[in-house]
Amino acid sequence: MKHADFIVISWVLSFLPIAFYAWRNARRARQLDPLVEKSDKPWT
Amino acid sequence: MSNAQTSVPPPTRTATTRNLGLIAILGSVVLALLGLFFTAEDVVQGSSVRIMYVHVPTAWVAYLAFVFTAVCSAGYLRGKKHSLNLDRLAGASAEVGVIFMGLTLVTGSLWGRLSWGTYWDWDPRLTTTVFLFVTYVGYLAVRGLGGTQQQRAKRSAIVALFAVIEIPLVHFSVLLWRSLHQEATVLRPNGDVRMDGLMLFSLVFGVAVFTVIFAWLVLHRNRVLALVDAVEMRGIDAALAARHAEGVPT
Amino acid sequence: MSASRIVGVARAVASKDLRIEWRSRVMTNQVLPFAAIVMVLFAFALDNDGILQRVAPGLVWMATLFASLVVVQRSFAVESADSAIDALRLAGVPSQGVYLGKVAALVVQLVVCEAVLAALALILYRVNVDRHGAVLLVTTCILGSLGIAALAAVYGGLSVADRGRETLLPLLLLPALAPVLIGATRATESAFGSDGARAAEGWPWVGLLAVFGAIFLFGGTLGFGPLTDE
Repeated sequence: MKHADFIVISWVLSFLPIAFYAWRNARRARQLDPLVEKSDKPWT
Repeated sequence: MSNAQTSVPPPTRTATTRNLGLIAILGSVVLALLGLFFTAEDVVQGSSVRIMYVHVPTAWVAYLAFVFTAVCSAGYLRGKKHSLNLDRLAGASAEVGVIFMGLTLVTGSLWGRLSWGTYWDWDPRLTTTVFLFVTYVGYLAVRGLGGTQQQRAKRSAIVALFAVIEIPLVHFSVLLWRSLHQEATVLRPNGDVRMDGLMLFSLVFGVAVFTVIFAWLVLHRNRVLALVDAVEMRGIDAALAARHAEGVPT
Repeated sequence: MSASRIVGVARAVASKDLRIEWRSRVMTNQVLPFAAIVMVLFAFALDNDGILQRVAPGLVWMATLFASLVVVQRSFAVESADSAIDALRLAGVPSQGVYLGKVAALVVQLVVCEAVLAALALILYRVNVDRHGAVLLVTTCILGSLGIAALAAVYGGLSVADRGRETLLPLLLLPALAPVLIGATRATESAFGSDGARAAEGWPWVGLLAVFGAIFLFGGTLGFGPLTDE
């Protein structure tokens, strides 16, 4: 592997898992949303 | 932002998280431009210093997350109300911390391969980081043990406080351990580099961007955990209602 | 809660635990043979007398850590069987006393275990200990056991209430014990004279072990009650 590859891989590996985590989290929120009332969401 | 997302916003979104998310995305783009293109190469490390602009911020955020977990846990234990929200904040923060610590390890070993010629070195900082990673994986396992929500909160709060006490102990003992095995005079950059103005700015900017990402993730995750708890409580209420209904002769 | 009451409870719990261990013979019939076989297996795996002699301190303490997992699980299985710990709680017994008693009993068992392991190292790995080294070794074993027991009792308390939590103990305990392992291994290295180390070099590490033990004991005394109170 070239020098530059290491750097690009580092950057991609830093942001990709975060994006995946955020996406999974949002999906879970949408799944749970129909099961709760508005009173369960004090932030809304 | 895609159409699907704007049409159905996630139920955990508020104006705050939306703005934080936008700042995070914009900041990441600017950081990438700065780190990958605009900054100069380091005198000693060459271009491998570019890994630092993501490596140092993720490490910083991971430590921040673990300290935040401890603060929330202490707040939970001290508070008269024993606020479950503080417990969920602690849990969300630890989860994000574990992810960031994992990223730190990956980028750190990639950096090590470039600078040291090896993916792994028994460097005190690296070793401490691995211990922290495993310790907080254990903390998350404790959160999943079951029981009532208050039981979970109390149990994990104490484990979190123990874990945060371990950070200095482990680091200190690893430092002592390494000091006995000082290697001979090979030039080994340890990650501290001399930086010019723009490099230093990029690093600080990176820390700021990742801190915003942290806040954004924790807020969302905290709300999802609140939803999970709410669903659990509703499930219990429903079961109780069903039980009462059974007991009543019709 | 008076201090004398806590000490009294601690003594009662410790003597109860040790009596159970003495009568059930689990320690002598299962834990010690397990520790011994670990030492023999290390010899198979490393297969070199010189290396064995050099790494003997590390092997003794690794075997101790493995054995401590078994001992701690056993110590709290006794409490969760027949909900014994609930009975203690209902009786209004101070949890600090229960914790200190548990720690004391664990320390005794671990020291016995380490004595056997050190003796095995002397015989199997051919390490030498002079008189100064022996004093250092005994002190190291006692303080190292204190550190292990103080932390193990806390995390062991977590696994009381339910089955299926046993697998959590190593995950929580082993990383947390790293400082103790480092200190104890270095001190034992000096006691064994491995790698030309002198016994006098071991005492700072013993001091470190004492500090770790004190911190863990303090934290455990505070944390054990809320942790097991379910």
